[in-house]
Amino acid sequence: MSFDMNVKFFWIATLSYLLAMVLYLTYLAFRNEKVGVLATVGTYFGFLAHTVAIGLRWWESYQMGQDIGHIPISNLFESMSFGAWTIILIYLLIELKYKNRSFGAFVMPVAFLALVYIGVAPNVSKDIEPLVPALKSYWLHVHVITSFLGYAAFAISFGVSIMYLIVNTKEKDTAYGFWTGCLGALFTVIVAVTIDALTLSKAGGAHMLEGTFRSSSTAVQVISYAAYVGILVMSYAFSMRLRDSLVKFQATSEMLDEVGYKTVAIGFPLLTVGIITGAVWANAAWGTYWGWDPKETWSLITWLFYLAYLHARYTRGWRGTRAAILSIVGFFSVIFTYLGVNLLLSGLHAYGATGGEVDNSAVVFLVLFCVILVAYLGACRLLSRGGK
Amino acid sequence: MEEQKEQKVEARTGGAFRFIWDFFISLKLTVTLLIILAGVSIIGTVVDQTDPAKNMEMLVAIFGPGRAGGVLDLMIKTGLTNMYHSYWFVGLLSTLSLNIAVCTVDRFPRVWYMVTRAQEPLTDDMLRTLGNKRDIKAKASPADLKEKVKSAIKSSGFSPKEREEGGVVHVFAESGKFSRLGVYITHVSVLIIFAGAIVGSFWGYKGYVQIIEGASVDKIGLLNKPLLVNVGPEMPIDFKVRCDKFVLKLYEGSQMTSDYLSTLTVVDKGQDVMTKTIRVNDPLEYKSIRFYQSSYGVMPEMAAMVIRAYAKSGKGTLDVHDYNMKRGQVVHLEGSPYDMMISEMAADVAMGPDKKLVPQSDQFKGSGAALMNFTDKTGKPVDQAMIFNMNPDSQPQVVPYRFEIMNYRGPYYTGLQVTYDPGVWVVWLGCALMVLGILVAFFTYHKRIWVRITEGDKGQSVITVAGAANKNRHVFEREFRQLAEKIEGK
Repeated sequence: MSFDMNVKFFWIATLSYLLAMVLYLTYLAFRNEKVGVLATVGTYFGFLAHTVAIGLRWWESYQMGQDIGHIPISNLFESMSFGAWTIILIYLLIELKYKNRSFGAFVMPVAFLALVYIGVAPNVSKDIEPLVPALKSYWLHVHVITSFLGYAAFAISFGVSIMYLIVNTKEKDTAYGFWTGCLGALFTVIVAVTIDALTLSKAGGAHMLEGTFRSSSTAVQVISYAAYVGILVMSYAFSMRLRDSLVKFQATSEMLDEVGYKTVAIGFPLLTVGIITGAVWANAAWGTYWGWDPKETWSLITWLFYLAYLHARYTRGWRGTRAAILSIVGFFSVIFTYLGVNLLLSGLHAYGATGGEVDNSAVVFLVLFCVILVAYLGACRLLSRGGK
Repeated sequence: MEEQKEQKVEARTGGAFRFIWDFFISLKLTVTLLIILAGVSIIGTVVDQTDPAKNMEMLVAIFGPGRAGGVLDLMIKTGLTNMYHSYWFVGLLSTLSLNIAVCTVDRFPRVWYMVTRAQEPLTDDMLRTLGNKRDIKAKASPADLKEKVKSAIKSSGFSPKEREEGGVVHVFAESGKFSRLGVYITHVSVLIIFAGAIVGSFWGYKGYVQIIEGASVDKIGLLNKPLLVNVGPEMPIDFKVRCDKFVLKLYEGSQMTSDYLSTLTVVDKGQDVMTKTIRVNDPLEYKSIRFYQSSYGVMPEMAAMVIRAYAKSGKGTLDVHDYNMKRGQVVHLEGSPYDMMISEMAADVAMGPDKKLVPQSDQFKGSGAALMNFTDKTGKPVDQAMIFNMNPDSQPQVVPYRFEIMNYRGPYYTGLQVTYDPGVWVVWLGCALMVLGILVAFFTYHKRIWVRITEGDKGQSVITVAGAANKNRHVFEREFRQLAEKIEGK
């Protein structure tokens, strides 16, 4: 008897989100209200299937044994699925409150990509696994749920902030360089992960990006970085067309700025409670509330970052473009805190089988990736200055 | 002359104090410190803080084997490998604390004044500065209108106050005064959390003990010493902790650990005062010292292996016998002239890259190893074999038997992490205050409403309504409009 009914519902949810994502983009391009309604319906349907998937997994874990049953947020597959679920939840609440569908095109891809990644990545197991003794505590529920709700709020702020930058682009200036660079970088990572899924074998215990940037073959590595630069260049060249087709939003700059800020104002207290409950749990499990473990430290860095966002807004009046840029960079810190630490660094939070070694190729990749992005930004700035 | 000198000295010391104060009060200092703190913390997650070997690996890959040693030495000297306990990191946090404290002390009196002062009735000067205002004409006298206005304000959720000055009726109300304190609560909470951490590192400690089932301990081997207490490598405690029983639970049909529990009894002055069965996430606490279930294992000196011996001769009769052997114990091999002894044993090993056997855990999962020594009746050694289940060909050459490891058992010890932290409740207080402060600062705000009713002629009056909020201005504008309509409409 196999306990993978929940995986079937997971795939229904993933495909529904894909459909909804396509419909939201179509709605944006053609402003057809009927398409917009279908997009929302698709999202609700996917969310329902997703909720069933999570609930079913919870129930199925108890069917495997009273001892084995647990809330499905304990490993990479379960936590990322739950993370995508919280993003959709908060998005649906915002769509209801602001009665505006244009955010959908920027939030759905984040959720969809998260689900596709865990769905096809060769080294992410979908099996229901029993908990190790350290995770058998109710603190697991509180700490993980509040942290993920915080992450979800920041994810939505990220999507809305990118929208803000696109809508407010008037020329190819530094801000243009920033958002085109981010989109280019994201697109590169998505393609690289897809190549991973298609070329790496399940049994190998392969690490993330070993199909491209961290490949053992130098030639493949060089091609990967060259492709990355190429994608950035294309992003610079063609993103104005993206802007043109999306500028017909009903979303005003003011509303985008407000939603971008409000989601951070929701995410920050949630992340604070997430970090504090993590400390309380650590104290109950190991006797130390703060051990400067990489996960703890990076969550603090993310917290400091959004703290800076809030201070900059209140005391220096940093709104609009500056706030949007801060929100976008902050979200990269969130991604590193959630995934980077588990997959690239070692420590108490390492997800065991899927990596967790201080691998030199990981550090090299991160440094090179960021250096190229910063160089691209610099080039955009120079170009925009030169034009004047 | 003397006076002038004195004044100069005063000016200089006053100036010095002013300089220090201005340094710590600057927001630029805060931003700089936070950026340094974030940057240094990032480095701390890439440079391994516990294992020098990992750092060496990383450095060799970046700098080459020649220079790596020198770089590692430099890193150790500058404290990068034990960053969070280094003087400069503590200095960084101390400067940040001073910065927060000075900023709070500087700004707080003004805010406290705003919070505690009574609301002033509306004047024309004030009216000029307020964004929300409306004039309403009414056909009644101020005295009659007063009650209507008060009930409108009450129904909007405020408690109105009134005052009369020279025929002009003032009604005013405010709510959420204390929201202005939210920011100060959060900043003070950071200082409280730091204070708790300092108390913990000055007087608290962290250690580890192993207690074999049935035994007890009265000393803790220290991992982190308290900074202000002079103590050796072991911290004596004035009671004993005894492990009555250790239970290991596995998931059905697997070797994966489901749970492990220790029943501990505290013995104080010869009496059993407390017994608790602890598990991970549920420690035992006595006299503020906490014992956490951290690990477990089998004491190698007291473990025994069950070895199965098969007679090698294929004569049809299978001669199989099981032996229970401790390390170093000499046992006679039945039906043979030999004695055997296990000099080295391991419960769970794997074959390493250089064909060496690497111990994995204390649990027998089928891949145990035993170095068996065989002697004849006179005690002369005749054979030796490393029995390893995963390699059935590794058997003795001379002695005509095959051996297989069936089990590895021993009395368990329970591994307990021990901590004493007198500052931990201060830290929790700080955390609670921080959450409270954030909620107050983000989700409440100070709203003020003023109404002034002046008498016109022929029994008519002009009602001037005004309002202000320190945050959430859009939402307040809507609320203000609704209130004004209530006053006007009724």
